[in-house]
Order: sequence, then structure tokens, then C-alpha cells
Amino acid sequence: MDILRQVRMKYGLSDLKWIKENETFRSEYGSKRVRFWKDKQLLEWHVKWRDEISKQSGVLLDRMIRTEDGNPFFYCDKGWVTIHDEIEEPFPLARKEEDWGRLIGTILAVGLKQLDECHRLKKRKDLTLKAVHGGLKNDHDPMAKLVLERSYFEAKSRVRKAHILRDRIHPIKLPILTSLTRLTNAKQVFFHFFWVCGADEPVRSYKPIRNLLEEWFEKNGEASTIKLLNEINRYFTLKGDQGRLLLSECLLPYEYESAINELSTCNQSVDITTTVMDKFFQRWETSRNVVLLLSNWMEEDREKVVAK
Amino acid sequence: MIYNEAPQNSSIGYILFQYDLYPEKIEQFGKVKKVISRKGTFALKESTMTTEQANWFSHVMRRLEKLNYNQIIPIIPTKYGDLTISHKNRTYYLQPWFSEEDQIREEQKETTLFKQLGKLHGVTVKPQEFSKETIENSCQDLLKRWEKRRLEMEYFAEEAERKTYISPFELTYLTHYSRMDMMANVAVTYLKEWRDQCLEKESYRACLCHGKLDRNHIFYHPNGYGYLFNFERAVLDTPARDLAISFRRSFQYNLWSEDQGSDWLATYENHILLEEEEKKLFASYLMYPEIIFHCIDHYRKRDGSITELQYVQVLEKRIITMSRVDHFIHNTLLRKNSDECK
Repeated sequence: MDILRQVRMKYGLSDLKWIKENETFRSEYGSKRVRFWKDKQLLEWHVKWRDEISKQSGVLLDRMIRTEDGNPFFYCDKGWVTIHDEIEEPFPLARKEEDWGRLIGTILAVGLKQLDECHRLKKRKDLTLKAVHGGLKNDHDPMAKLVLERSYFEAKSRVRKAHILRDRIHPIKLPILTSLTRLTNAKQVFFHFFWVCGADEPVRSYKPIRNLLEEWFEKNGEASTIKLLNEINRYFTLKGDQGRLLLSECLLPYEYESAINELSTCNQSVDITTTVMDKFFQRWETSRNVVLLLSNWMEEDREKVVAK
Repeated sequence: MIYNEAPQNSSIGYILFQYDLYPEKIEQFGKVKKVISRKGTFALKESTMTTEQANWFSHVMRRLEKLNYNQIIPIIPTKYGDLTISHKNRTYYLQPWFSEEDQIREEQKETTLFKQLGKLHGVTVKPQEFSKETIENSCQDLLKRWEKRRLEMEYFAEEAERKTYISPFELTYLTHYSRMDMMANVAVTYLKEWRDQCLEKESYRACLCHGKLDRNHIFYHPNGYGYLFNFERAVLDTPARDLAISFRRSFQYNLWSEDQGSDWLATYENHILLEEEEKKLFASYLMYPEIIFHCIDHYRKRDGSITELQYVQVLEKRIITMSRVDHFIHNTLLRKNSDECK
């Protein structure tokens, strides 16, 4: 049966018309998005997670709209189906640290309390620098190869520091998070923050926060990032073990791995190599700045205490 | 797509978005907004409930639905299935808007109310796990509160007596003071009897109590039924307390008579019979002259908005009510009880 017909029956919506087939449609109550889920357990985790985050933070999320029977999804031959609001108006980043901090802080607080009841956690591969470094081949651009060879020692040192930091903390408890990287997922409804969560598998790691901080830093600069950290800290303390775990994550040289992987898969043209290396330099610099900023921010209070 | 076309009040936009309501007109009635939309007309209630209270409120409404108690004005869930929305230290919830009230006779209003209260208590009543401490503590707390109030009133009486010129209000109060004080003592006696009987029986019951039910919190539908609303103060408590609250709140509408009280109680007891000790507790709540003391509080804080004569009239009306309560308790409530024992 046609999905729209089923939506009409299950949700009591009318005047339905596809904007983009099997993705978005128009209804009498605005545009909606349809999502198909193959994994029921992952879907149930997303329903619960969104409801909890939205209730605790007061931020609107693309929660599952309930059917007329009150269910958050229904089943069809393509799997489980959920309906969400489709909002287009973007939410600003500038001077909105308070709203963002509330959302991220709540996500972290809820994420840390989560039990491992979702068995669909994305498997995280540990960064094995030696293997990554082994990917550097002689047919790579000599300049790029030289830069990456030299960066290897610094990358190794970063991994070592990250491990030292992490190993000091017992027991290590990391929050369960979903992807937060696309800042463009922030929309607004009547001047209120509306976050589009997507349908990614959750991961037990600080990586999504690291990615977000780096993107935030690049777009908004140092002062705004500090403000954001202060706001997050109001809802979830980052000036302790959890902050150190975040710092440890920020130290890991993923950009080094990405650069070698990209060089290995691209066709070695000069243009592409330049693009890959430019991106590498930029990401390396950003992650260096974020690590510096984060460690200074964490030390701030300690310094104040010492100064007194 | 949602555009910010009418965002004069972004909070309202934020709330109504969660109901997919796009209003054509909004009218304000106190804490209630009448929202007229293509979907229909709704009442959006703003309340000071905390998040915790709102969760309890949602639980209560869901529980009543599960128990098939449908004499309530339903709460309309958001499109995400929530019964309430918390926003800027306020809680909001949506109900259908009812305007067509039936022209129900005045004396019939309370009968419908006590029928619904009886039903509500009847479907939710449950024996509680016996705890001596709970009984003792609630009795002691109430005794302390009553004693404090009694002393305040004694002080007011002494102060009035010391004056050279006593006001008409004070004179009225002093004339009836010793009887009110005696009623407070009788209330204490009944309360202690309730405690002793509970401890002896080693059982007590609790039910879902509305907490502030009077004719302002019931919608009289043209179909003859009454639909309860405003469960914001709902609690699990003894039925006797909730019944006493509704009795007291209903006294204010007309000069209450003993026969009316008998009718109300009989209507209520068609759905849930009060246990012997619950009748004692009910009697103690009614007998304690709180409505008189409350009147004194108002008089002490008077700001000139009502005249001395009006204060005297209110006090006198309440004193007559208390006399009738006294008769009702001894001639109907507890007499029925002692007759049964015989």
C-alpha cells in the first residue's frame, strides 16, 4: 500500500502530497518527513532518547509524531515507519550559546545515565596509528608524504598523551551519543531551537562532541566556543573526569588517518592531493586549537583557586 | 513547513506547534486561552505546576483513563504524545473548549458534584499497606497545625477584649468564640478517635483525591452529566479529607442546610461507603472551625475593599453554617453510625 495512504489512515492527516518521494511530504499541518527503519531496537532507542532529551531540555527535536492510536511508529512492507516535522528555517549559531549549551549539556547528562540497553551501539574502531602510517606509499605525492611522515611523530605523541589522560580515570564511563556534527541540523520554530536528530546508530564516545566543538570553533571562534563550554557545563560538568575524557578524545589524530586514507583512495592527481593536504592542515590546526582551548578552560578554575 | 508568520508571542507559537494548531483567534480568560482554529476550539491552560507535579498530573490522567473513569474533561496530548508542556517555569495543557453549559438548577449542582466525587473515589480507592508511623505522624501534624491556629484565634479574641471600643465584627466573633473553641476541641477528639480506630483495625484506605473540587471545577454538560477538570492538585489521600474539602467549598454558594448535607452524603455514599473511622475523620475536618478562622485572617488583612458590615455578614453566615455542620454531624453522620452499631 502507498505510504501516504497509510500515513493518512494512521495519523488522520489529509491533503498529503510528496515533496520528495519517500522522504518528505506536504500536509494540512505543514511539511513532514518520513523515515524508514530496518532495526526496531534502534528505532525504540531513538524514540526514548528523543522524548527524554526534549522533556529535560525543553528543546524541540524531530520527535516521532504519534499515530491516532498513540504509537510512535507503524509497520509497513519497507520496515518500521516514523513521521517527523520537516522544518527549513535554520537556527542561528551566533549569540545562541545558551540554547546550544542546554541541548548539548542535556544530551551528555542523559547519555551518561544511559544503560547499555541499546545493543545497536556503533562499533568504534580504535585508532591504530602504526597501521595508518603503514598506508603511506611510495607512489604518494613526495611533498605530501614528507609532511605526513613528519607529522607521524607528533600524531604518535598525541595518541600517547590521550592514553595517559584516559588511563588516569577509573572507571571510564562514557556517554552514549548520536551524531551531532551537522550544525545545519539546527532549525527554528517560532524563534525556538529545533534539533534534527537523524537516524544514526548511537556511539559510546565523546567523538560526536569533539566533532561539534571543532565545527563550532571554525565557524564561531574562540570566545564563542568558551561561552558554549560554560553553558554546557551548567547542565553537565566538564571540569572533571568527563572533561578529561573529552580532552583525551580531542587529542586523537583522526585527521591524520583521514588524510592517508583519502590519499590512498584518490587517483593521485595534483589537485586532489592539494585539496586533501589543505584539509589536513586545516583540521590539524583546528584540533590543536580546540585541545589548547579546552585544556585552558579546564584549568581556569584551578588557576583561580591557586591564585587566591 | 512552519514559517514564523505570526510570532507576536513566540511562547504561544512554541506551544501550539506541538499540537499542530494554527490559531485563527486567541482569547484570554484568566489563566486559560481560548484557541479557535480549523481543528476546533480548545482551552489552553497555563499552570504553575513544577515538572514533577506535571508528571504526576499526567500519571493521574492516564490512570483515570485506564480505569475507564470518563467523567473528566480529557487532556489532549501533543503530537508527540505528551499531556503537558513545560515552558519557562510554567506548565501548559490543552482541553476541548466547552461553552454550552446546561441551565442546571442551583441545588442540583452539588448533587451532581458529589455523585462524581463518589465515583472518582469509588474507582480509585485502595487499602494501603498499614503503617503505624503514617497514621501517628499525620495525626500529630494536623493536631499541631490546629493547635497553632487555635492559639492565633485565642490571641485575636484577647486582643479584641482589651479594646475600649470593640468593632461589630470583633463583637460577633467574641459572642461565638467559646462555641467555636469548643468545636475545635470536639474536632480534636474525633481526630484522635480516628487515629485509635485505625491503629486498632490496622488498616486505612486511600483514593485519588481531586484536592479542590467545587462547582468551579465541574462542567455541567447539557446531557446531564458533570465532567470534572483541574486535577492539578490531585493527590492520593483519605477520601474523608477530599470529601470534607468539597463540603466546605460548597458551603459558600448558599446558606447551607443540614438536609442538603444529608443528600450530598447519601449521593456520595451511593458510590463509596465511608468506613466508621473515616466518618470520624470527616467529622473532625468539618467540625474544626477553619472557615471562621479563615474569615478572621481576611479581616486582619482588610484593605477596605469590603465594608465592616459585609465582614460581619460573612462571619455570621459562616457561624450559622458551623451550627448546621454541628447538627449534621450529630444528627446525621455519626448518628447513622451509632444506629448501625445498635
